Amino acid sequence: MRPKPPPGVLHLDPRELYHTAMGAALGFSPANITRAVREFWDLIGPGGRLHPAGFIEHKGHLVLEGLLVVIISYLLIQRTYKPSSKEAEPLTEKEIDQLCEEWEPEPLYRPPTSTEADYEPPVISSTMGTYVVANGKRVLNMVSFNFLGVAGNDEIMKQCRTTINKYGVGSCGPRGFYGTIDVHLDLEEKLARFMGTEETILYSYDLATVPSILPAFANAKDLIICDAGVSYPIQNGCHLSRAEIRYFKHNDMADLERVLQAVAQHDLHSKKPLNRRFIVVEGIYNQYGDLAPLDVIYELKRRYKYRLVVDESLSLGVLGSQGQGACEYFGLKPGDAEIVSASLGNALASVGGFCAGEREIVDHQRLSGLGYCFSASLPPYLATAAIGALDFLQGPGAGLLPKVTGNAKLMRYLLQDMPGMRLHGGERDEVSPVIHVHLDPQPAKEEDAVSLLQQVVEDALKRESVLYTVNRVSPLDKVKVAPSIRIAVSALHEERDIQKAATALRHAVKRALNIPLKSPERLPVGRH
Amino acid sequence: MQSPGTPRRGPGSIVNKNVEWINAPGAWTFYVAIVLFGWLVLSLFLDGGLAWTFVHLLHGILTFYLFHWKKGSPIDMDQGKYDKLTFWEQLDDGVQNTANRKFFILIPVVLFLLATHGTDYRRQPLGLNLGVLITSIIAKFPSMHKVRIFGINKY
Repeated sequence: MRPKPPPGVLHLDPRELYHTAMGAALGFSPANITRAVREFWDLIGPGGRLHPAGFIEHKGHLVLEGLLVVIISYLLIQRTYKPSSKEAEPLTEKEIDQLCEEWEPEPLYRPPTSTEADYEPPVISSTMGTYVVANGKRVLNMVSFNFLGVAGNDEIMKQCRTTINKYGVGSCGPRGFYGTIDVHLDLEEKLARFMGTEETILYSYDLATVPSILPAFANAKDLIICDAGVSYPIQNGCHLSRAEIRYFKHNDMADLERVLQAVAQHDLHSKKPLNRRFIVVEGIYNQYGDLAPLDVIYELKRRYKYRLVVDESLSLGVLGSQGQGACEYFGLKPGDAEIVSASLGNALASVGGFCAGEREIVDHQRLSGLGYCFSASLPPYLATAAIGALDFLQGPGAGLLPKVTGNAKLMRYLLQDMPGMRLHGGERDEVSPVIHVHLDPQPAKEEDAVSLLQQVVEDALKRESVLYTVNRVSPLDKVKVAPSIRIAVSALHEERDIQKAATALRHAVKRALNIPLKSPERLPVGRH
Repeated sequence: MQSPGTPRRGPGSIVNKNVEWINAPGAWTFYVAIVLFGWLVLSLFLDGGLAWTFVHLLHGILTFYLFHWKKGSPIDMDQGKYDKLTFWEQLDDGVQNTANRKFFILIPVVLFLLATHGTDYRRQPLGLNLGVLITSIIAKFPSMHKVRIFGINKY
C-alpha cells in the first residue's frame, strides 16, 4: 500500500496509468471493461489521485469560469463570415444588368479553316457495299467499318422489317421505364453467350457507352490509367468519372509500367484508403489503327492489381478465332478483362453499344449506367439487326474473319515504303483492318497536312475511283494525332480490289506531292 | 424556434441535406429536448447533479465523433463533394460564427457548468469534464476549419 499523496497535488504513477489503459485495451470482456472504467473513475473522479481537489477547495473554479466567459464571449461577439468565399454579398440588380450587357457569347465552334470551308463531302447515293456510288460514279469503298459486309444483308433487313411491323420504330422509353422489348433481352443474352461472359448490358448509342460505364465504376477517389491515344468517347468517360487520370504514352508498355510503379511508390508513403483502379485501353485504336498489347497489359494489371477496361469497338467481329475481339486474339479468357465494351455500329452494322462482364459488373450498370437509365432504349429493329449480325458472325460470317485480317495484312504490305507517306503500325498491328497513313515528312503546320491529304483523297476519288477519307478529329478531342488518311478494309474486298486501292493511293500521293509517276519503286504483287 | 442568421444563399445554390435539417423549425428545441431527455434517463440511476456529468461526457464523446470525426455525407446526390469535410465543416456551407455554430458551442459550456455546479464542484471529475469541454470547444474554433492537427483523421 503506497502512501496517499497529499490532496491537491497531482501525482502520476506511469505504471498505474499504463495498467489502466492496457486493461481497457487488451481484455474486452465486459468484466474487464467495467473494471477498467471503474479504475479510471477512481483515478480521475472525486477522491482520485488525478482529481484536482485542492484546486477546487481554493475556489479555482472561479478562474475556470472566468476563462470560459472570456472564450465564449470572444466566440459569440464575432461576426459571421465565410473563410473561403470572397463574394459573400449577393450582386445588386445593377451589377447583374451590367454583367449581362457586358457578356459576349463565345462562338459555339471555332471558325472553319480554309480547308474545312472548301471541303465538299462526296455525295453517296447507294447503299453500303464494296462499291458505292459517290458523286454519281461507282467507286471502290475504302472507308466503311463494315468489316464483315453485314450492312445491307437481305436476310437481316427482312428480320428488321418484321420487327418494325410488330413493334414500330421506337421503343418509347428507357430500359427501366417501359422501354424493354423482348428483342433487347434476346440480344443481351446472345451477346453474353457470344462474349463468353455472364451478362451483357445494352446501350443505345456507342459514343455514350464508355462515358456511361466509367462513371458507374470510378468516382473522384479512384484512379484511371489510360492510354494517351484513346478515342474521344473514352476520354470523355474518364473525364466524366471525375477520377484521377494518368496517361501513359500510346502503346508504350515501359511507360505504363513506369506510371504503375510511380503510383505504387506513392502508395507506400500516403496512407490513403484503398480505391478502385482501372487501366483503360482500346482493342484497336480508332486514331492509330494499332493494337493494344493486351497480353503484356494483362500481366501488368495482375501484378499491380488493377481492373482492365477494354474497348473492343473496332476489334469485335474482326480479331480472334471467333471474332470476340482483341482479348480473344491475345489469348485472354472472358473475364480476364473485367469490363469489355464495344460498339454495335461497326462490324455488327447496327446502332448502339454494349458492355460485357460478370453479373455484378453488368447489373451495377442497370442502375448506375447513365446512358442506360436515362436514355430511351435501342429501337427494337436495331436490336433485331444486331441479333441478325451476331447470328451471321457465328454462322457463315465466321469464315470471313481470316479474310478480314488477310486483307488487312495485304493492304498493309502493299502500302509499305510508299514515297511521301508512312504507314502507322508495326508487325503486331498487321492484322488490324483500320489503317492510318501519315505524310512523311510531316509538314510543319497541321492545316497544310490536312489540305494536302484532302487533295490526295479527292484525286483518288476523281481519277482512280477509290473512296478514301481524311481522318477527322474533333477539336474537343484532347489526343492530338498527326493528320492521316484512314483506310478500312473488309472481308468483301477481293485481292484485286485491295491492289487497285493501294495503287490508286500511291498514284494519288505522287500526283499531290509532285513525285514522278514512273519513279522506281517496289510495288509488291500478290500475297507475301 | 428557428435559428436566425442562416447564411444567405444565391438562387440555385445546392443545399446540403446532411446538415440542412439543422435550419428546420424546432431543430434547436429538438436538440435541447434530447439532451434533457438523456439527463432524465440518467438521473433515474444517479444523483441529479452527477447525471449532468454523464450527460456532458456522453454528449462530448458523441458530438466529437459525429461533428468532428465522421466525414462525408450519407446522401448520394452530392457526388462526393463533402467527402473530405466533417459535419461541422459542412454546417452552414462552411460559414463561421453563424447562429447554429454559436448554439452548438454554448451547449457543451452549459452542460459543463451544470455538471460542475450541480455537484458543488467536489463530486465530479473536474479534469475529465474540463478535458472534454476544451476538446469540443477547440474543435469548433473558426481557425480550426479544415485543420487536421498532426494529420489526425486526415483520410
